[in-house]
Amino acid sequence: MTPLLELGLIALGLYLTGELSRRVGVSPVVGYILLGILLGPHGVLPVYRLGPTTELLGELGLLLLLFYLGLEFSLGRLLEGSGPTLVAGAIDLVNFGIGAGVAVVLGYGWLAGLFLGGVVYVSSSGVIARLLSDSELLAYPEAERTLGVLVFEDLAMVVVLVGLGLLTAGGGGRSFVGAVLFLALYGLAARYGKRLLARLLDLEGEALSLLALALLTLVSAGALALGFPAAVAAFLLGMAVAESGHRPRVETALRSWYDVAAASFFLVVGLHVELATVLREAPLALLLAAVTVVAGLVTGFLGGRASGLSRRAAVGHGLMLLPRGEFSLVIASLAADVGALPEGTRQALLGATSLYVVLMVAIGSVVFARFDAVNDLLSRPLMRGAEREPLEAIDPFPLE
Amino acid sequence: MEDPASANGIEVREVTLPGVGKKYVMSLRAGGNLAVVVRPDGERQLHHFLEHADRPRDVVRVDAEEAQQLANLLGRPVVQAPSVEDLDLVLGALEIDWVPLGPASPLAGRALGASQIRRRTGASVIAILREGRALANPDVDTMFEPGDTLLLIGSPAQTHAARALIAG
Repeated sequence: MTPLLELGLIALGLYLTGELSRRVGVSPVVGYILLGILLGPHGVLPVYRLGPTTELLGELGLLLLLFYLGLEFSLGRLLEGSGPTLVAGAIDLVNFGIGAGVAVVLGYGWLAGLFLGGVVYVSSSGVIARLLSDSELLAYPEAERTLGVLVFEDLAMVVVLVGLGLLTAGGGGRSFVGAVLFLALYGLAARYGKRLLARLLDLEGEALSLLALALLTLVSAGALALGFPAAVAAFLLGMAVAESGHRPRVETALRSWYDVAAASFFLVVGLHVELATVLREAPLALLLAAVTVVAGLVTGFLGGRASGLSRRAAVGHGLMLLPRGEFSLVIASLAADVGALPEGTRQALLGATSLYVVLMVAIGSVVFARFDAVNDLLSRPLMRGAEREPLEAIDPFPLE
Repeated sequence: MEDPASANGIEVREVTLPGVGKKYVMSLRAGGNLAVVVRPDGERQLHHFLEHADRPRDVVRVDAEEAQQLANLLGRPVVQAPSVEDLDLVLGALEIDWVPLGPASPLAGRALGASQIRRRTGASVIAILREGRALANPDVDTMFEPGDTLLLIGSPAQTHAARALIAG
């Protein structure tokens, strides 16, 4: 197969899958992974294979996903939500420990536990924002809280990703020094290079796209050479670019690269997953999904109550946070590159996470489609006295 | 971003919904809240909450054009747009024009007399609409404030020139 034909089939497959997913009403991310698993080298019809083309697209997709996450990240936004968001976000952190605990109890070890903690912890801001946006739930008090907690999770991701980056820096002492060196260089550049970056990026059109792409790939490649994960470096670069004040223009300049490469990344994740592994790891994926639903609803309720929501809205907060997606996959694919993890564990993590994300997106879609019914069903036993009355009963201005 | 909050003592809380849009919550004097959600694609959602309720009683979704039409309806008693057309017919070659005076206008904070609109453009300011009230025949010492709407009269060329002067 020529590279041109390969790229064409990838783009066509992603386009058709995306359209189909939207028609069916699930997140396209789910469709892209399934496409990769089913039409991958180990799938039912091997159309796509792993090679230089998919490798480049997948790697670029991962870099762009994290670069855009860094661009969007804003400490100011988190502080805007202030007290209640921080309280709910802190309680939500418990889910990280629960995910890690599952891995340790099942005997995967503490390093795999850190990754699985991340997989279980991070809700999908992309999926949730889209589901919320298409719903009529936006003015519910817990919608505001949920979106605030998603920003909090992004901040926690920074810490987790940088921490994992340091922990997994190739294993040897030399790489650890390299990773620390990269962080030190980044710190210096962020402190003193802000104006230089702002001046460099003061470009239009073609020039801006080219320079932004060059920065992204070269900084990531440099980090990798020093033993620091390229994806985390891309995230840090995104934060620095957002600081420079050029965020909207850089976002626009790389948008079509992002669209193509990010979709390809999910396809490539699917290519790495053997259908047999997914089936073998199905019990783990189901267990993770069950744990996430139970723990998520409990922590969501507690976080909602602690931050001043009513019982019903606190249950709704837990429900809204359920979908998992792109960043659970990113974390699992980072784990797939960690030499310190046994090959079997890496495969299990990636296979289980793929199925887990599909399950959680499906659960999320069902919950959002029948939100009030599910919400009432779960919150009725928790409510007391007047709260139990249906809304009409406390309506001071009943309709004729 | 300009804060639309608290005109006439009516409190409006503005909340950013990251990745989704903005929410404005207005407390109603009769009790309860009206939440307006503004999405990037221009859709507005109006959610009516009764007092102490955590769920809206009703949701109205309008697209950008419907929102504009709704704004016209809500603003109608203040602006009374149709009477302009009636006046146009009567006055023939004269034109009456409404011109909003934004915070960026060079005339904001200056007096009517000092702005010399009449001398520089030929158009006259016959009224100032401010916070829902009309100040008819303002005198030369009246100060322009950001948010005012000026009611001008003159030939089309004159009101056009005045519009440019006010916009700055």
